[in-house]
Amino acid sequence: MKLEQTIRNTLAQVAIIANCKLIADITDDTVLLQSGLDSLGFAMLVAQLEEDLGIDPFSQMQIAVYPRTFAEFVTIYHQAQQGGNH
Amino acid sequence: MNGTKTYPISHFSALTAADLERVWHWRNQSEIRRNMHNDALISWQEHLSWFEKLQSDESRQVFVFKQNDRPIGVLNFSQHSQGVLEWGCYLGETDVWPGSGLLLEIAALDYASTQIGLSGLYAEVLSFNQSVVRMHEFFGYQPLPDRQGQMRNDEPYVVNVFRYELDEWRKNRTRVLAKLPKPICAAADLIQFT
Repeated sequence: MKLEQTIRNTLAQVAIIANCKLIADITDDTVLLQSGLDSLGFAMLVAQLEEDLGIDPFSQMQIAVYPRTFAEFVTIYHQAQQGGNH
Repeated sequence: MNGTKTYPISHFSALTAADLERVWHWRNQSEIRRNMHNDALISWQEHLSWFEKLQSDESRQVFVFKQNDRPIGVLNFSQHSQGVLEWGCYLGETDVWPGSGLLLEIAALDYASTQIGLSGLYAEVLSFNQSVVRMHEFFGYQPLPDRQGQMRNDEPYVVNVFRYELDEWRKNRTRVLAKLPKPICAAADLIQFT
């Protein structure tokens, strides 16, 4: 839960910096590309999470399928924190 | 997980008949259509006719964007005027590497800047598509006067018009990419056209 909250907080901060307007309610099923964050925002989010958490699963893990939803995005980070692979 | 970092290979290959059904489904998605000049559903027959015309039209190139061999989007160019290409793109899949839209933007500029006889890249964006407007501004596109739009979902819009001088991209590419998160710069080195 702590990790998910960290991601949510970072997402909100990055959206402000990237001048993106997030949709009102980001749920587990929210499709990332429809969350209001744009491509630059997502790249910034991953970079900021690497600074905060010390991991970038998108360059450090062999990911067969990239996340489509918010819940899948959080799961990737959970797996990365556990040192696993997807 | 290991300490070695890897980034996706972005391979752009010319659209073939084998891609047609996939691209037709992408193009008809509501999230794609809403940002197009023509937001009507396209029939399979119309799609086939479009592809047939494309075969004999040397002024247009349509590429499928493959991320690590998986098709995820489209990048297209058409002759806008002497020495100027107009371009457009979309991501047809939603489970893509974070920053894939940026790779499309970089690929368009890289492709155009390596073509002989081209001086500029031209783009039109419907004004409500703010994420793409912001991306063009970030990369340094020069805004041209807006064109009149129409109504979309009962709201008026204009067409934002942009141009990029390719000499500027050749000079500024490194500086622009340096403003992006490092993984994007690394992935930009893995953009390939065939």
